[in-house]
Amino acid sequence: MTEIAVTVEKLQRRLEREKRAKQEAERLLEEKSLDLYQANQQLLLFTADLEKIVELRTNELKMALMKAEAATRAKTDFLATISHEIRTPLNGVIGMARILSDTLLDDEQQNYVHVIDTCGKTLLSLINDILDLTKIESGNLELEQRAISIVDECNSCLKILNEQATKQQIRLEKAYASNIPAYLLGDATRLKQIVTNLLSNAIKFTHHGKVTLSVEAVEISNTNVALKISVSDTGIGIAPDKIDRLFKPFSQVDSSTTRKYGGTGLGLAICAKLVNLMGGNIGVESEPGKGTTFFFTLTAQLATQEIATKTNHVIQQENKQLSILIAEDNLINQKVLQISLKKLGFTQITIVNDGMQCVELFNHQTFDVIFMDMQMPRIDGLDATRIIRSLNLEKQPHIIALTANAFQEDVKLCNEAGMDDFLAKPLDAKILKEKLKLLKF
Amino acid sequence: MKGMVFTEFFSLVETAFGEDMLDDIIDDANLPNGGAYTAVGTYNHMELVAMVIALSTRSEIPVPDLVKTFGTYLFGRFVALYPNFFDNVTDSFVFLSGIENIIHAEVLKLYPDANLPKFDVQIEGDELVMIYHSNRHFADLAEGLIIGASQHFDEDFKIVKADLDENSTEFRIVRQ
Ligand code: HEM
Repeated sequence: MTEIAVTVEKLQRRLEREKRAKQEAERLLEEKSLDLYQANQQLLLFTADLEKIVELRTNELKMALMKAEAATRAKTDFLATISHEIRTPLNGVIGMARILSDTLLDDEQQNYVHVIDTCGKTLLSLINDILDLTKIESGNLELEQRAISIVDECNSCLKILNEQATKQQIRLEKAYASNIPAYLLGDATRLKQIVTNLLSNAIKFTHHGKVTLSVEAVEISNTNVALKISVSDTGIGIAPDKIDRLFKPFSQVDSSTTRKYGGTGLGLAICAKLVNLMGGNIGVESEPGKGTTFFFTLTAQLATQEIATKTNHVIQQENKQLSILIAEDNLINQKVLQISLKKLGFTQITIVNDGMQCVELFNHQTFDVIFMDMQMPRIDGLDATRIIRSLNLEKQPHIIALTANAFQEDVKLCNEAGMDDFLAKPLDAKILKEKLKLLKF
Repeated sequence: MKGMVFTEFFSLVETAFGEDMLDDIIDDANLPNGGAYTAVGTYNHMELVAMVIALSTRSEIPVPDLVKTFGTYLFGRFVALYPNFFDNVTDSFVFLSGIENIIHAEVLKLYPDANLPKFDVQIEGDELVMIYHSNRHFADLAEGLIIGASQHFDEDFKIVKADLDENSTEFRIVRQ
């Protein structure tokens, strides 16, 4: 073999080797591409699986949440129902205790009756608080939006608590800033509930000195105002580690507090919830032994003019006995109302047991005032009212609703049905008197 | 063994001994694929061993010396091919201590079929002790790589090598 032939052969072998290496590389590349493709497919499947799992989990969580919410609702409903049911017999107890106290009793007996009355009222306020709280927690509380005067409402709170303060020899002071707007839109009842609650607590826990109610506008725009309302006392104060628990239900600082100072332990929880509903915050600053300041903020729309407050329907009936109809199915309630009315000097009282009887009476007779229970057999109070309002009577009666649930919607329902006024059970003799006084004789 | 070790070995033989020598040892080693290697393929490490033995016979250089030289050469290639591994590393002992847990760990991610050795590493004062474990018996390659590292970090190592058992070799390294 020549040298050239040898070289050519060598080069050919090298070329062959390179070719095979290239083919091998291409095969590997192909293989890798396939691997990659399969891995990608796998990843897609995996992603789809993952999405399914996530969806499943989300649904499970949703179900769990729904169950939890349903349980809470059931609890709230139960509390509301039970509280409501307790109010009816309690109405009887408190009413009868009051009637009993007006009979001839010796001092000892009078004392016993007083205890029944006090216990009954405590229980009643607890039940009212529970109803309030369940109401707020179930999201069923609607706040009114009416033109109110903050100064007037605060003054009326001070007036309510004046007696309690005087009894304890505590000074009750006010400090209103000059920048408070005259009228704003809000819920007077709920606002007063918060302020009286804070004031009453402050007085309760203060043994010397004073309780001050301050109001100031912290921010005013053309349309809105942010108010800060504070109640400061010179009382026993609250230890820092107890402060967090204050606004939780049933969390009076400790049980000895309950024994010594009374109260349901729900007041502040309700205040906190109400303030939240009003879009504000509640807070407290305290120094044990020195005193405590509770404050809350609320933002409200400014009211340009005072919306005329609803004047009570006036019955002109001078020197004439009012004819009164009581439509109520509960015997005890009938008795309590009847006796209370008699005490106030009303003698022309007719009693019916349901809405049907009530409506039938109007076929041949009319009344000046009807006390109408909302829940009655056959025809309920609302329907009976509607029927009576549709009758062509010479003079329509003044209809006062009687109900155990003092909720906002009930007031609305009563108004819509054509009732004139509203009386919550258990009956409060003072309020009954006030309501009837407004009707001129 | 990864094909890149083979292709790097080829280029070392080509530059140091010429293309004819490469042809010859490929023939001598009687390789199953006729010596067609690609960097991304995977081949039996015994094929490399066969070529090294053939090279030793023809060049009359002992096998361990050849493998060691290849190791040092390979290290230089790693520096060129994987510069990332050398970023921010200034200490040779720190670098060597991280071969198994950092560098070979990354290699394994890239080539899941790679067969890598295990190292037990310990720094005792100014001495680095590396114990090499592998049933492929490339302790000489490891030594060459270590020497490559010393050159890269511009240091002079005194390396004491001792076989512990069939599959383990201890390197005691002291910086001069
Ligand atoms: C940036 C530096 C390094 C890289 C990228 C690297 C990468 C690799 C790769 C790709 C292999 C082939 C694996 C296989 O064929 O399956 C290998 C094997 C090997 N490496 Fe490294 N290496 C590096 C540094 C070192 C150093 C410094 C040493 C020595 C202490 C070392 C010791 C070895 C040994 C001995 C083998 C042969 C396989 C065995 O003995 O089981 N490597 N390395």
